[in-house]
Amino acid sequence: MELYKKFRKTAEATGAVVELIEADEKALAKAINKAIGDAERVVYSDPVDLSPKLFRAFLSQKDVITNPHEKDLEAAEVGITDAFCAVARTGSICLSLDNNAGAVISLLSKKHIAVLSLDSIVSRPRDVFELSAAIERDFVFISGPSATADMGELVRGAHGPGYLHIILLI
Amino acid sequence: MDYKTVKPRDVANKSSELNFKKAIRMAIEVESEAVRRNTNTFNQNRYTAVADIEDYDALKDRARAIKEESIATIPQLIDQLREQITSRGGFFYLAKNAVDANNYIKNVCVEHKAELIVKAKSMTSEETKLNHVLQNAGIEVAETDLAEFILQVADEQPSHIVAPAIHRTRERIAELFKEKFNPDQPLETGEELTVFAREWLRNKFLQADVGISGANLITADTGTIVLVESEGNIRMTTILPPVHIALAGVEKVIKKRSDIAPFIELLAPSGTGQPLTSYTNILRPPLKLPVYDFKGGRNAKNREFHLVLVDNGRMAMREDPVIKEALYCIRCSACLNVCTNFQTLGGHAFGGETYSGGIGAIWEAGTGRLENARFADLCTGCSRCIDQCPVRIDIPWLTENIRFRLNVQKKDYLASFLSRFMPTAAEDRHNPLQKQFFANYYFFARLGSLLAPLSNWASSLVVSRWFMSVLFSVDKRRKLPQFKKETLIAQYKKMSGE
Repeated sequence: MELYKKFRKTAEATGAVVELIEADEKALAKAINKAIGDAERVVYSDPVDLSPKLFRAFLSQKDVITNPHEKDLEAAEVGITDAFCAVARTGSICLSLDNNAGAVISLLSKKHIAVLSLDSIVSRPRDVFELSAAIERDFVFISGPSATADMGELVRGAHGPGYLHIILLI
Repeated sequence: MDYKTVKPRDVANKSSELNFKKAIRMAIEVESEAVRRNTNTFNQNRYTAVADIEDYDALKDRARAIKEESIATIPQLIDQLREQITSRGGFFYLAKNAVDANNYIKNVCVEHKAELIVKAKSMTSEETKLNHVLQNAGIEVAETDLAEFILQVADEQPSHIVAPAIHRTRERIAELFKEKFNPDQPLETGEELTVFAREWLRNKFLQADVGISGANLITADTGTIVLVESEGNIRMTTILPPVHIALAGVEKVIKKRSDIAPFIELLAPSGTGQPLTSYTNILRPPLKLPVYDFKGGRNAKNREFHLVLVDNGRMAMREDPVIKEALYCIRCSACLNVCTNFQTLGGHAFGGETYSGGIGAIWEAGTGRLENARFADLCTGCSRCIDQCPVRIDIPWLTENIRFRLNVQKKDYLASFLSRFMPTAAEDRHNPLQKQFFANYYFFARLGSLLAPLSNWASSLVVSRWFMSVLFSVDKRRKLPQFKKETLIAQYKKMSGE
């Protein structure tokens, strides 16, 4: 829980929203729907590291694009993916680039919702490289929404998503 | 002269002393405000961020050791890396110099009949001036890093190695966009400017035929490339187009993937002062992901990847016992942000055609001509940057050495002749007269005192001031000290009855 507290603090400092819920498909469906809010054009990619079963309740009730084509990706407002670990010191989550749709929707959507397991939190970035899940894999540390300070002040939402919502499963 | 109208590009090359002086005046009048604010923000954030790393010093030692080992074994690492990249279906090219690298990249783009290229920030491509070559081949190049986008629109060189448009305030960016794009709605806030640029560039990403990136690190054992960013433009550049070309200097190669961690843990805290930037990409291209076809009508579903490593003077730097140090640099910019002279001027004055700050002088000398590094003069040797460097480079020692080389190379015959009339040591006789004059200040003061009051009269003459200005760079408006016949030491001795 120490790692979770630290993670929550650092992730929120990057501008991300962090939520902790039961690892249960109904609870997850509720949390995702809340995070989506009024947004339309919700795009989903099959999880790489979590069990797809967790998303069954969500997928059964919501009008979600599950097998997105170029047109869907271009216009996506919300993109949902999983992630394979989180880093407490930096407030980062690590997203696998093994799934094509996941790699692209976590980038082109206005809001990125990422789901991962609470026990996947590690302490420092260096610990990620020790994980078997990170060996032989293309991935990206995501630390908050995309941002820029190039236009004279800090702006969240540069080329990538302007919102990052992290759902941790207990 | 109105220095406000001096264009940064025109004074980028500091081999001309006049350019150098113009650049300083322009920077103080136009760019200082933005540079001061931005570098100070980075600097304060860095202090906070590194304080959070419990083993900061050990991590720096580790990073330094890895770089030393890597630079010592570059040829072997390159062979290993070539094997890695090609075995996974990528292409590897080792370019001798800028022209060689640019031509290779141009040829790849021409072969693919590329019409549009999206580029992520790459200082190496600024060094090789890649954009000119691609544009001359009739290919549209879109810089997608928002700072590089500003520079491309303004036609300016980078003023900082991490935040290349650090010299522009929000107001000056708004002015530029108004002039170049004439938007329907006036753009004022950072948010409005960002949204405008984002929309302008989003379509470019989707239509681009080729994406060109740099690399923060490359590991020889697995061909893993590390790319650090915050905007998401590097992710787009490496994922969306069917062809990805990465351009980097040979010094970016390290041995092992497991050695990446110390660098990513140090880079962002030392640079922008963030624990990590928004995106740190760990990639082994060519990626296995199929390519989405946003443009329409593409046949290729498989990705193509080219890694272009460029020497351009680096292997010669490696043979130089002093300059070699700069190859350990991970381009974090801590030394720029902490430097008081840099905080005032920024890289358009305290910098060359590509690289900025004290460390930039070494890079300009190493990848270009020694004279381009004249701005090393702006390092006062205060040593404030040394402790901030994550790979422990003693930058003041390097700039001192560069100045020494510049002085030796300059062959100032007048200085060596006049030095015979001063107590200058034989090995210092090539130094500029100004330096010799002030180094021998005690000698001239004694002379002035012996000849007082004649010396006071003589030095006040217009002609003397002219000579002093020309020979010793003592400004004519400067008030000179008055010499007395009796020195302070003599007075003291008299008073104490010795």
